[in-house]
Amino acid sequence: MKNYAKFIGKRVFYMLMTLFLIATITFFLMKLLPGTPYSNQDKLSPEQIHIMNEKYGLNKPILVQYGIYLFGLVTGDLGVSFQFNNTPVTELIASRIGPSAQIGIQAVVVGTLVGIVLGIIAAMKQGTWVDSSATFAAIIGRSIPNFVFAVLLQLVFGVWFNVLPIALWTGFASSILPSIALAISPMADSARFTRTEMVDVLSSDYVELARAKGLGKWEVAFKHGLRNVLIPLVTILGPMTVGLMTGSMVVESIFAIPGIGEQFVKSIMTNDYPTIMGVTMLYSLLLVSVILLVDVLYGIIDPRIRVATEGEA
Amino acid sequence: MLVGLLSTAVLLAACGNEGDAAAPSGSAAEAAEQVVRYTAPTELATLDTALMTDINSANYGGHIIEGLLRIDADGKPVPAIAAEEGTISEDGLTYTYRLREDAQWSNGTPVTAHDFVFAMQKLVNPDTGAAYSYLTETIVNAPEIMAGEKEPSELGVTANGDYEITFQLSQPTPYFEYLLAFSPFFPQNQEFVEEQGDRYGTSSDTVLANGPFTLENWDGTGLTWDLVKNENYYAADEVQLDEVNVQVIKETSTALNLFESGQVDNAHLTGQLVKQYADNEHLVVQPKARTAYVEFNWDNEYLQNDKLREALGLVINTEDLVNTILGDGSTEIGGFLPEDFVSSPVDGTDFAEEAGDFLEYDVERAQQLWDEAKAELGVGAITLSLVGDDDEKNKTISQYIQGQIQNNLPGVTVELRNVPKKNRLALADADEFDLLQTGWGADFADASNFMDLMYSESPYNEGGYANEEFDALIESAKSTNANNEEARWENLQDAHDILEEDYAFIPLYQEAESQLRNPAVKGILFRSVGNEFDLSRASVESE
Repeated sequence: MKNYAKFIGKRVFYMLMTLFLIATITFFLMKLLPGTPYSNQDKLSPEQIHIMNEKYGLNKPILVQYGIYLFGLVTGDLGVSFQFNNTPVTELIASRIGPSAQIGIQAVVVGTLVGIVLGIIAAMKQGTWVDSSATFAAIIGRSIPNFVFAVLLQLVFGVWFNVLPIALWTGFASSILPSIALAISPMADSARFTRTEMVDVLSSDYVELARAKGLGKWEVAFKHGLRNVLIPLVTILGPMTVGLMTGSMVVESIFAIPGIGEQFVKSIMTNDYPTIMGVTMLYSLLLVSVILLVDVLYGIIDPRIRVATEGEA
Repeated sequence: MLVGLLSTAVLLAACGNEGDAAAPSGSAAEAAEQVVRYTAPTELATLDTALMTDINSANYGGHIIEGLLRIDADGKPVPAIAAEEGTISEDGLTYTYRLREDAQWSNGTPVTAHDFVFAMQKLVNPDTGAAYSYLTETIVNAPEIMAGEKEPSELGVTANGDYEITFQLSQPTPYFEYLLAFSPFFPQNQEFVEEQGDRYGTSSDTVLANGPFTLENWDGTGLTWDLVKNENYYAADEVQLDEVNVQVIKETSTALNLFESGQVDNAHLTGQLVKQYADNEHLVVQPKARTAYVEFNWDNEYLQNDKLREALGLVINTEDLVNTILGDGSTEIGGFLPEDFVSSPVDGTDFAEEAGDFLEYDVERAQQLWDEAKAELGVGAITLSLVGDDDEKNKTISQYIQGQIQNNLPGVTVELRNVPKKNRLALADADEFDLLQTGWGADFADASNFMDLMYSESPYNEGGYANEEFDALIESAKSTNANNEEARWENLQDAHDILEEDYAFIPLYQEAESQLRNPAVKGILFRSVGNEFDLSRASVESE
């Protein structure tokens, strides 16, 4: 157990190093963007831009700006947004992350569950029309961008059948269509992974043994097969969840959802430096945390991994 | 590819609705409620009038805060917080206004001359970082304060008691009254602003209204807010709407779907959708005082040839450009100024009309000129770069210009550089272009706002156009003739003639704002300059 704590400690240290590197690289890359963060830059004379740079500290040497930024980051001050004058970036993120996270998590949960079930069915009916159509659906789901689904869903359920809101953010009902639009891709991914793993697992010795003992085909699949399938799935699930939680620009825009995804893209387009850094750091923090969590989960899902780690250390 | 798919999807969505001809409106009961459900194309950036730079914030800020003057339906500045027309001194350097004594902030405190003095000092203070502070440059001491050489308190704006204010100018500014109706010049209540500190104007709780509405339910970054009738407004009895519920919708197809299903009262249309809805009875197209044109780089030795510049302009068919290529409601322009923007003090003729059409499409003449230009320059083929923005609309226009020039003037190769707007501005500043696809939106309704752009020392004259005669006319309009409306108009018209003689630019189009609007909502005022619309005197009619 002591070794395990050491393992976690080491991982957390690497995590912090990763975040530091991301902050540094993003900061300098961002400063390479041409132009200023002022929205009416085309109307500003060089003197006017000078006055404003002075006020916002953008005239300082870049290393000084970097130092100021790092100090702010460590003390939890992400600066104020340029797009929303004087609004702290922490507040901007706080007010925008909720809707994005809600539809993101709903999408991952629904998408993955449906995907696993589809994957298992496809594997069990391997080589039949059921398998082929499930594979075909997965390819379609993976290759058609989610905003096309979004527009179609809006049209069919919002306009034609008028059963769900066309857009706007007014409660749970508003989150259904965007969640489905976003769920298509995790569904396709998990169906594909599950099928491949399941086909492997189903031909392994221990499944043969379980079947020989007289357990039913579906019972074996769900009780014994699924656990093995989960390992590769957990690996892709982490980053996928983070990706969806931090928002999808186009889907949020189509359903007029006050999320962070669209805001992030806009912050890059407008050189809103503090917002770019703030959202990037949030995204990175979530990502490295999820990767750590996944590593810990491996141990729970598959005891062999935990034993191996302890043995090594 | 993605864009293609998306637009297909949008078209699909749009087609799906075409059969639905029912008038989009609430029930009669709702109509009687005097509530409008308006859509905005983007979020509010701020409600601090000193910091406002985007038109959307200015639009809504203008509904809750009034300045000394406001722009009326004819586009002229009329008294608002000012009790009556101001007194302007003979030399055009002193503007004095009496304030009305019944104007109040939404917290009950009266609106006084000190609120204007405070707001103006805040605007010029370099610590504020206000992008529009340059508009004050003709007020006494403003340039020195902006440069940090003098204190904001030395600004030439003074209160004489609570209800009289004087603006002291360093040079006559014929358009000064338009500025007084523009949001950066609006008042701010010092006590409230200082109480809120940096948070002033960042949410509906941190701003005071003195206009027809108050703004409620805005959390500072959200996609929704409401305009609510301000009972403290001095002309509250003229305001008929109780509420305007605003919803930001960025996706045109979404706005259309909501409009067609009667959930919102307006929907902005962009691109070819305007053409598609051309016959729709709810379509409202409003020209804007914003033009697009091509600038030449005068350092390019080929482009110094008059015949080449004329030939390049003659092959652009602006009629085709606006109708076939753009189809978004934009209109043709024949000169440097938008149409219906300013009219003659003598006989009321529109500036653009008086200036006449210039560079009318004529391929034959263009080819002849190009042949002569080749002989004069001693070249057979040249390559020119065309720098423009990389959004869909500007890319299409670049490709059109490239096609017209290359197909009609054999030997001219146009290399396109479509880059994000910020890059385009950087390339323009660095003089890294031969042809620059650019434009200008008016800040105030005066011909000089456009004509000054081509002044040799102007920071907006990217191509380095310089003509002493032109400069002299611009200077004369600013100084000698600044107080003589008619002579000034003559100066600016003559200056425009010189631009034409020099083939100093290629006009492209004048922008328009297009939207579908519920006909039950009456009395919305549109403006081509400054704040785009005014709902304060609008009402909902029951059917």
